[in-house]
Amino acid sequence: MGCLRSFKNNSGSVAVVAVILMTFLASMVLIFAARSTARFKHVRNFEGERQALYTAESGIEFACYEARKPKDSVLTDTSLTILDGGSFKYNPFSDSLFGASEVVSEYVSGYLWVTSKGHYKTFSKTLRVKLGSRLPNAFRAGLVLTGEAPVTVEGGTVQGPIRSKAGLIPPGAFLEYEKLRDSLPKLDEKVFKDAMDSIFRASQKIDSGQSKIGELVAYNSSNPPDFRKDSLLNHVGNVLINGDRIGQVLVVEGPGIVESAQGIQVSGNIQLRNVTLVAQGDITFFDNAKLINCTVLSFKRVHIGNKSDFDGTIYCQGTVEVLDEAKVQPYTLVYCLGRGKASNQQVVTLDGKATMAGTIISDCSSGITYVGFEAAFSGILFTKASVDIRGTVNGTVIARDFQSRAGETEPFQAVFRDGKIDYYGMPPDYAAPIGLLIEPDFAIASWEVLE
Amino acid sequence: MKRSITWPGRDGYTILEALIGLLVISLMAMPIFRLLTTEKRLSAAARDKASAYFLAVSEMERLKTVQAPAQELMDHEEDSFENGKSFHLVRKVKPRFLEDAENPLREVTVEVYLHERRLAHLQALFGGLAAAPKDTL
Repeated sequence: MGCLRSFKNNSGSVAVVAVILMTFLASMVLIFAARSTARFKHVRNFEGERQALYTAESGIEFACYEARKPKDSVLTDTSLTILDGGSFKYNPFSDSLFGASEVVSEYVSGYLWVTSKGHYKTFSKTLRVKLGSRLPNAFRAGLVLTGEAPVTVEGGTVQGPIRSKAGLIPPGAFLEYEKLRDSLPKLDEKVFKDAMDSIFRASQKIDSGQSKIGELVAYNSSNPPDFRKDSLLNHVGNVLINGDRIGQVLVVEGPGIVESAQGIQVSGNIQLRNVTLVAQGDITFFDNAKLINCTVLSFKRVHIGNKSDFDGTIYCQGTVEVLDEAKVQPYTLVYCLGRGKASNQQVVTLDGKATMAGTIISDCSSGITYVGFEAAFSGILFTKASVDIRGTVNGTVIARDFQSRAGETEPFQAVFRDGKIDYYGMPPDYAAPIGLLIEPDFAIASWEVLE
Repeated sequence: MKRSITWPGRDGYTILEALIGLLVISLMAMPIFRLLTTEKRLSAAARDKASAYFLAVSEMERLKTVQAPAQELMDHEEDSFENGKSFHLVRKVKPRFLEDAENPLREVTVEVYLHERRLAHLQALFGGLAAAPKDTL
């Protein structure tokens, strides 16, 4: 009866209880739904960001493929803009599925820094890679200089297009290599060698008696070399040509020859123009010495160091060193025989922030042509022996093999054999600069996602 | 004091009013239950999509470590079990530029399906960079 009474009266609260229950239930459902939706969006964002990253990566793949093509075909593609110094910017593709990519590359210190921004829907990712060259294609045995005009030597000056060709190789030459390969001059080695030998023979004249062995002949501001009386100043002893006055440049104007049966040192505040230096021993340049259009012949060693500046031609039967912020100006030819050097010794050395533009011909069957970490070379480097390149090289390298060492105290060893690189013999994180390319090809030296 | 929701001047609900009220509340509850089932489905879908995403990324990253030229990449299909479900992974490979016969670039698409429904889709270009054998670098 009581139950019936409560059923018949109208003082209950079923609606309130029901609403409270429903509200609680709805709240719980909404919370879980919000969590699931957030998780779903999270995964979708992951996917979008990953695709944007792949799009950026693909942009680099695409741009490098385009850049490897011969220049003529590259230029037909208007979306690729080649900037100064081998850099380029490129928008390789824009695709509804793939997204779009913007690629900008910059050529710095022998490496190609490529930054690619990938866009996919509302997502963007930026990727930067540092590209070097793939080594097996960089080193090939044999002489590959080919072309129409041969190179000859006449009176100490190289005749032929090799000098200008070497100078014309710009930074980022990888873009133009296909074109350059066909137009590189043929190096007539026999003519070149005969001419060089004749220069050596001509320079070995009998001492004129102006000095004795062990006696130092000093030319300075008070006693400059005077080629008006005699175009050949021949000495038995060492010769010092020194610009000894601060603030006043000693200018020695040629044409003329200074010859020594021992060594020659040029140093100080001095400038030599059109002068030929011939020595049985070392020829050294120090302390900001500047040589313009000079020819240097040494039977032992040529040393260009300590911020000196050289322009001309160097023939040396021994070794050539360019060190300590020295500059060797464009079109310079270094012809080095490396006689008496073992296979693990350096024949031509560029190191210590030295820069050189021109041609190095290291015509020896043993020894190493070395470009140190801080050195830069632009031009053609040809050797029948080995190269060890740590610094920047723009242009072309032709070498028999590639030697390297893990550290300064470690011995040199061949690390390129049968088309493969032995990484154990190389410094950590080594990657060859782009300048080593014979055929443009790229390898990743570093890889990072910026944002 | 006894409280209840009433119209002014009335003491409470009749049994008919309570039944009608319950009917209205039941009707209101329907979308809430629907939301509840949707949440369940959504939660499962999010889990499946996460699984599919990781399968697709794993496949793509695995391809990047393959020591073979990109030209040797082929179309491929396989089933993969993740979280107790069978996903179907499809890899499609095609040259990016048809006009260039020597073109080394390959467009690789990785898709992951669950019951004919595509849950993940990633695309990337493969060429000389990604697929280069390590000992030739």
